[in-house]
Amino acid sequence: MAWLFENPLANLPGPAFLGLYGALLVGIVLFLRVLAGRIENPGKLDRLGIAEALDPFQVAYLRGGDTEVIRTAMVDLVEQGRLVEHQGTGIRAWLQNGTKWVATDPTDIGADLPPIHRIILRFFATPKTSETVFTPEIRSQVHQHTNSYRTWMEQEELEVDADRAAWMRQGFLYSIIGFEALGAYKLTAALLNQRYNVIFLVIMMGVGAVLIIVSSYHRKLTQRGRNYLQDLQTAFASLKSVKAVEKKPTQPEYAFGDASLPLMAMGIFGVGALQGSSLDPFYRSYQKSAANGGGCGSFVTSSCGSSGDTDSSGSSCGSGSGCGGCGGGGGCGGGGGCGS
Amino acid sequence: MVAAAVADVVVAVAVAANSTSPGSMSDHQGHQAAEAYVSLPSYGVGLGFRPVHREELFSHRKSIDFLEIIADHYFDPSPPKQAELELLQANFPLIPHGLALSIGSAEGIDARYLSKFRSIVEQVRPAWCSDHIAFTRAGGIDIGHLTPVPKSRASLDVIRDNLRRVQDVIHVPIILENITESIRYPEDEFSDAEFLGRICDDNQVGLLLDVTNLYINSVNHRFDPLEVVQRLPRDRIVQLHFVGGRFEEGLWVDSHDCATQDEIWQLLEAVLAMISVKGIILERDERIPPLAELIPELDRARSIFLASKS
Repeated sequence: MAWLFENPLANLPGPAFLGLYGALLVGIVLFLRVLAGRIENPGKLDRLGIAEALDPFQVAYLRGGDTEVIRTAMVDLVEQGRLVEHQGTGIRAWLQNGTKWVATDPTDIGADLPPIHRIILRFFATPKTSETVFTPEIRSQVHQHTNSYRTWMEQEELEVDADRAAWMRQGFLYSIIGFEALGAYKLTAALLNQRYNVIFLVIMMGVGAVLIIVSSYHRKLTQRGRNYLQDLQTAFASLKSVKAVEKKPTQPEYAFGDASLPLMAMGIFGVGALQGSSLDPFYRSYQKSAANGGGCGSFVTSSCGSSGDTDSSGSSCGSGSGCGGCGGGGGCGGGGGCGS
Repeated sequence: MVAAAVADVVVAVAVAANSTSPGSMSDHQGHQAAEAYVSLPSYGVGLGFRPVHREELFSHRKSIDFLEIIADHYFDPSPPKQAELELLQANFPLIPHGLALSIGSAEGIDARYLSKFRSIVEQVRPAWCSDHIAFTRAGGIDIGHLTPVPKSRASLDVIRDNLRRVQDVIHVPIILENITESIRYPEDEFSDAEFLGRICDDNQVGLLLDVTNLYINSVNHRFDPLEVVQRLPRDRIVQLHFVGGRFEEGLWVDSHDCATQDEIWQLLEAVLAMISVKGIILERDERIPPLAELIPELDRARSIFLASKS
């Protein structure tokens, strides 16, 4: 076994070994970057044209997967008046009972809603805060209904292919194990030979590990996917602030089909686009302080202006608190459930 | 100062007057040039892109076959402008339209401008690109306005030399636009049709016929616009521009600020009955309405364009 630590590599002088070790590190980093580049640019190089009828949920999925689809569906439900704030303790589902909107357990939700919306409404059958919706169970249920988005992204090469991502993980694993093992071997050999000036080797092992980790990074979206998202955000840049668009005397004619402006803004830019808008309370509901912040600024839209409907559960909108949740340019402007 | 600059260029042009056109194209070269323009893709009817319409473009894609972009707006672009250019390029055929190549400047082409123009053309890779038969710079002064060149032999030489310089670095077909002329130079030696025709004869260049400008010049300077079109090399007319003008104090002004008038529609229709073009662009630069208000104009132009093709 003496050969294990008595061989040309083990006996290689420190500076020479460090040079070799550094060259190996450079090689590994280059290899990983090339691999990452291949993964992010799999084949299709042309930019994807913007679809004629944009689907806010599809865009949301592109931007942030199931999580963003859930958030976007929540915005849709809030706009429809099916999710309302509940006495400042959270939000809950409402259902339409005849001409009235009443708080009830949505155990038998009609087929008029898409499955993801139904999943969310069921979750909010009892009042909960917004962010609690992101449970593994809800994510799993929603995931089953986002297959079409994954297929689209796969076909259009917008997302890094899972197999290719696995190559990257393997490349990373082999690289870091090989690099660190070689360093550890040389370190052991040096210490066994009572050579203790190993500080540069130890530093290089640490720096190398960091560089290999950084070099292994690849984005979830391919370059084509990022370009498409950038194109959407450029094409509809004003939606970055729904508040600003709502203030315009005339709004541009967007190609959103049935999707509302806040819903499309949510899909393209995320919840931040709703800050200060008619759905600002929804934006704030993601902030813990706002979630417990009482009835003012409720994102209720249902009973406001609907011929005096009252809420048996005493929602903030019907309470006449004077906070401006209704009629103050807040919740009622979004269409959806306002009016009868 | 502007008057001085104009005088400067007129003098410079006059100095070179009476020269022949030693660099004129041979018949064979002219034939090749004409063929090159005939083989360009036919786009249809499009819009002069203005950023205010960016968000609405995608609601009206079926009415917009291609876009003409102002090349100057994308020189040294900020990241948002670069993103806008990439967005447009991904979704529409683009034609870069320059404002200040100053092809009629006796002092030559501004190398920096040309370099920036080239970078846009290289990025967009258009079927053709365009600028104006005008000068915007004289005596080192940027006039900031499209100024007509005297219709003289000297101007033809200047334009020929400048075009050669441009075509040395820009390798896509170039078409030049007729502009409105509020003045006529005493040095003019040619009629409008003769001058445009000679520019085509002397150079491998196409024409961007601005129907509104033609109409305005014909009314203000009292000539028959169709006679001009009749005498132009028709196989070199690649693209048309049109937009509404304004009649003020007894003169038509190329204001680009209102809907196209019936007189201009009639001229557009008559022109398209005489020639076949690759594309028509509606321009609107002032009092820009929501895009939806321009769509009927695009649709009307398309029906005329399609009728002319049938």
